[in-house]
Amino acid sequence: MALSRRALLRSGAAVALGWLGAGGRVARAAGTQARVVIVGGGFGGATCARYLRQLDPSVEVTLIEREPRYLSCPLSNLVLVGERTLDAQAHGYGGLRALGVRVLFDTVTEIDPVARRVRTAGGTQLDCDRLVLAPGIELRFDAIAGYDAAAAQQLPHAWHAGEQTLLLQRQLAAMPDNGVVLISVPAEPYRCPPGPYERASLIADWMRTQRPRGKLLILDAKDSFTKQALFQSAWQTLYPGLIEWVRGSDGGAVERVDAAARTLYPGFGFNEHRGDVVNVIPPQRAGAIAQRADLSDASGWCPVDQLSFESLRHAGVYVIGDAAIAGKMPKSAFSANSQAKVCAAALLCALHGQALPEPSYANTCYSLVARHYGISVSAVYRLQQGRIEPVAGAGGTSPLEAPSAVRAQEAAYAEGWYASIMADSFG
Amino acid sequence: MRYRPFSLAVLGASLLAPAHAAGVAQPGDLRAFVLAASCAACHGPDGHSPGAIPSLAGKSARFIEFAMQEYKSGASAGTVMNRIARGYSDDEIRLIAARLGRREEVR
Ligand SMILES: Cc1cc2nc3c(=O)[nH]c(=O)nc-3n(C[C@H](O)[C@H](O)[C@H](O)COP(=O)(O)OP(=O)(O)OC[C@H]3O[C@@H](n4cnc5c(N)ncnc54)[C@H](O)[C@@H]3O)c2cc1C
Repeated sequence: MALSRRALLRSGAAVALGWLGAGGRVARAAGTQARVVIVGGGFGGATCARYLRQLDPSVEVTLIEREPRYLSCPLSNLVLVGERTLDAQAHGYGGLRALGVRVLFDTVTEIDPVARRVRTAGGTQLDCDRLVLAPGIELRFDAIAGYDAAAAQQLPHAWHAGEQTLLLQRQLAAMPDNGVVLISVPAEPYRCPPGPYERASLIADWMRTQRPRGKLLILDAKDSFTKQALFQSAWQTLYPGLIEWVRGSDGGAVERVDAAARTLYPGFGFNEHRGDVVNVIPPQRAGAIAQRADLSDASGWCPVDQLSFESLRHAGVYVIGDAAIAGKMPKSAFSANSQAKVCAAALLCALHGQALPEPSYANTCYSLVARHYGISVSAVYRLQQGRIEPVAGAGGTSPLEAPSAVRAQEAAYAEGWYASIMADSFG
Repeated sequence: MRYRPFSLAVLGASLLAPAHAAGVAQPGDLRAFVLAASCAACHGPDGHSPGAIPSLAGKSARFIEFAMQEYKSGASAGTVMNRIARGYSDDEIRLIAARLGRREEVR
């Protein structure tokens, strides 16, 4: 769905801000355009590119993305149980190109954050005035003993959509009648806090009819989780006895795996668990390129100014999305999209020498507890004493008691949200 | 900085001219832009929702403000908007509505 120039004008963004037209251009020394390079074309990077171009078409925006086809994670839990195809998760970059974004399919291998210079595997070198990184996450293959990239071929994580999603889907389809599914969940922070529980729910929904003698065990490093009361009461109603959740202090924190034996070992004093299908969601950190570029700290994530998303380690470089430390915001597609807009406005203000506006951020995470049973958690965020905090008295979860029509409507909205955010992020 | 300082005169001059030329006046500033930008994630770019979530495009500013206030007060139940509307002040709701809504209704 490409935005025409008229539609852009209609959207009024650039117009209202006065950044359109020769007079308002950001001029570089020799009258050339200001250049922004964005590394990573997921929800964060794509949204940032779109809004930069909408707010100020005079800025040259280059987006560098490894994959010509973006496979998105939201709704990918439906792919696992055959309710959606992987192709339905795919999005191209034509919409961004139509807005005048230069899209380069290549892998960024080196970044000089001081010179703001980027090098790619394909041999391209780009200098820019402002650099934005939105590389998503790197799965840590050094955190759980025995769980490395090779082990993930047997015990899939399926935490990047793609081959891993299909692998887990095939394993589920091949599972015996009385099969046991194990899902190992890391401590926070990780991508998509409710994702593992949505996954457990949808697998249980499938098992209820396809493998009614099976069991599903969630081994959790945490002692509580988001929307817990809603998930657990729905599990009791919809899948009584099927899902068991083991919290961290009861032996849920997996420390070691034996991939060949499909066995997970919690710490000393707790029983190991063997599964027929084993999904290990390992701990994570900022996408590898952010670390190579010296943008992450000891936590593995990137500290940024909470108003502009400019790195606290290197001026003129911005980090958004999962890779960034963004106060209380969860690592979600919605958050990445919201941060990208605040960042685009802040970046342009910096280029134009204008004061930054007071930011406003939002997040809503829908989860499907069954195909037509949706729940959500939502928050509006503000900057309070330099930190991104949810506005008190607002947000929260769906009500614990609600008629099934409300759950069905939230399930429909989960898919509606997906359609909207794809259009808003990728065009 | 090697950028030319951004002049307020330019901002003023270009603020409304092209919008009027296109026949659609767009009020608002960067603050309104940032506030209203959050809505697009669910309601679609420019309020054009391609899926199940209601579009805001074509709605009047007055309607959007009224609906937000109804959610905020609890007069409308909603699924998620009641929780979200409480996150905004009356002023912010007015800015959002003015930014997203049809302008002729604001006056
Ligand atoms: C199962 C599951 C379900 C989810 N459901 C939801 C949901 O319902 N709602 C929600 O809001 N969120 C959901 N999420 C979370 C969401 O997918 C992420 O939070 C979101 O993708 C983060 O966006 P990002 O831009 O930071 O990273 P990504 O979307 O991962 O994008 C990063 C991009 O950078 C590229 N890249 C990385 N390194 C390089 C390099 N060196 N050179 C070139 N390109 C590079 C990658 O190829 C990738 O395309 C879910 C996640 C999972 C796993």
